[in-house]
Amino acid sequence: MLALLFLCFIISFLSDVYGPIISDFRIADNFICRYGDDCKFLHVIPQQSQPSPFGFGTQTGTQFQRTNPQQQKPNPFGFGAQNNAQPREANDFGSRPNRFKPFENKWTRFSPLNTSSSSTLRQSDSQTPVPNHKCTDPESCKRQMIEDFENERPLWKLTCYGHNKNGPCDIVGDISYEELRALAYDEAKCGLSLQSIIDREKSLINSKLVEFQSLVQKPHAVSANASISTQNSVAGVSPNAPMTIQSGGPPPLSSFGQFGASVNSPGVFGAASKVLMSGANSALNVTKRIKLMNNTLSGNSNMDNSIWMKAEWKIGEIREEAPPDNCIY
Amino acid sequence: MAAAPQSTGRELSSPPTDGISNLRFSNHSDNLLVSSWDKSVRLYDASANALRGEFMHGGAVLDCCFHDDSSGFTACADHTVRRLVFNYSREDILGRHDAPVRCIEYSYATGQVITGSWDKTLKCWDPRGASGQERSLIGTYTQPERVYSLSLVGNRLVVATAGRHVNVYDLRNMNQPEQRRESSLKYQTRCVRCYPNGTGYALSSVEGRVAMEFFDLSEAGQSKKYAFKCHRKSEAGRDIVYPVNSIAFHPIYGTFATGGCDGYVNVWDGNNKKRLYQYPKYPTSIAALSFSRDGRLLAVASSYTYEEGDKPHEPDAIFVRSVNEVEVKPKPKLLPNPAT
Repeated sequence: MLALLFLCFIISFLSDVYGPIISDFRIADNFICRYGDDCKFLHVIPQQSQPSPFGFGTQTGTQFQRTNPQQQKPNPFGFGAQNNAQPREANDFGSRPNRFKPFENKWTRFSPLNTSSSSTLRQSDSQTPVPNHKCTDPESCKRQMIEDFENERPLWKLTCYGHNKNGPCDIVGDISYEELRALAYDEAKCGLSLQSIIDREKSLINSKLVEFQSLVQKPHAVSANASISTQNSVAGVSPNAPMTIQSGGPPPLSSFGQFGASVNSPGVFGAASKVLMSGANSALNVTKRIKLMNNTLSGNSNMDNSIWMKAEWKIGEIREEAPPDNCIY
Repeated sequence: MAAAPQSTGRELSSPPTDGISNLRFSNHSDNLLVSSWDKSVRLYDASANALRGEFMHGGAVLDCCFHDDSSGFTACADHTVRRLVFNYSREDILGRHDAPVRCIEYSYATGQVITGSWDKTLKCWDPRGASGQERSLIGTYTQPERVYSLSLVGNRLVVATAGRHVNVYDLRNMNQPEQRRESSLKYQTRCVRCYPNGTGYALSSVEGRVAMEFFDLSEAGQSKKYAFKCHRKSEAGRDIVYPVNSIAFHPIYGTFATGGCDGYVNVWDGNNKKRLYQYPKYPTSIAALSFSRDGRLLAVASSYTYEEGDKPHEPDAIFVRSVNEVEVKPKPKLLPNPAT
């Protein structure tokens, strides 16, 4: 009985602070408060306008405030084991749906409050207890990948990708923007022309986009390649060994402009950069253009062929195997 | 010139002339160390808005950290690891990697400097005494891929590499990782930061997501982990997905701020899984974030990170803002009165 009274009180207070309470809470049908209209608690019917806390009277108000500092555990150093991620009221009142399931992501982008509408998050945001994707069915892998690429293609294209969380990558050989930038700065310092730097970067992006395309078409063929390409991958990049990929035709337009090697001459490069195209939108166009490209890029597109292009080899760079055919003139 | 603090915070004068790779507050004062692609490392007094010192290196400086208030360490693209002594404007080379050094941390627990490089190794250095690689190098530890981010808490070290690998080490036994993991996010890792309470780490990626992970590998420990989306913009029915470049934990409350290429800084309460605050948009991508030792100041590096190649961008700037409690303090959980 007392518990139900407290329930009313909690609902009212919370609804005032947090917004509409989850709609499918119901007070038991046979519950009749013996105080009737004189009850110091508000008899809240959910989904209606929010009652004001003043209806509680000072006694309750004080009680609540007294509770608050006790129960709140300010966690001095961040969070973790001490603070249960679930708010306790959910455990005490079983009929009230738990708004904070452990895996349920209730973030809303623009509001710090969790409202009941957060339960209608987008399909792609489902972190409810969905079991980790298991690669038993190539079709489901493919679907997962298509969904990822459709909804969540990152701005940065030279990324690795694993469709299975906590699983190994399906596409390896990612490059960070710092690496690309460092390479571009070094090349500019060595006197390479702006255009050749741009061309190299464009072909990198294009070949990575092609990798993503072929992954979706043949999800499990790539996982075999992944282990091979790990050895040949573009790892261990040093500025002296640029990772050019041999592409069949002229590189299509892409959103990647040049890197202004603005360290040396900001004026020159700054002006030049405005001429070149930029903007993320054209990256979407690249995907379409890739399909028109001739498919001379082999499966081993990760192989570092640029090493064969170098005029001079440093110690340790000398290869033991023969150069691939497309590097021989 | 100290302009009145705007909504973005006070802009530091004499910022670096090229991109900012990282910035850090000291543990002892409001000194701010800033490393930059213009090959400089600058020391500012953030409260006084004054440049206290500057060191020039042989290549872009990719990371920096304090040792104590008067000295620090830097990681440079010319493969060197350097020690800087601010008051005497002295620097010397602690050692080298075989490729640009991407991250550097100083461990107070072990008194060692730890560096991660694109040569796929981690190196631990003893900064005391003479410099030179023979004397100061304690060990080299191979990683599965190029090191992208490092974080320390207590005796634990978390290393995030290319290819979504994550290694967790116990600094007292570096011979092999305590845990070898893959990132639970699907795309390239950008940043990893340990929780101040030492129970886990936050990991961010290029796909506008942050994963909250825990060291405890038991079922109970792993049940707490989750990931959330952030730094995205909805446009014409699909999301523009921005990389999340930086994570910084508030030293007192344990809430954390994330900075993304969308120019926003968000503050999150990881326990309650809520966003606490979003600061007004900065002129360009957020390259780095740092809270001061008392959590009263937040330094934001608004510096285009070249995630879209070269394009005209706002000048690189550092903003120091005063942090209000409401922005970073977790909201109290409301709990019922116990039944009498």
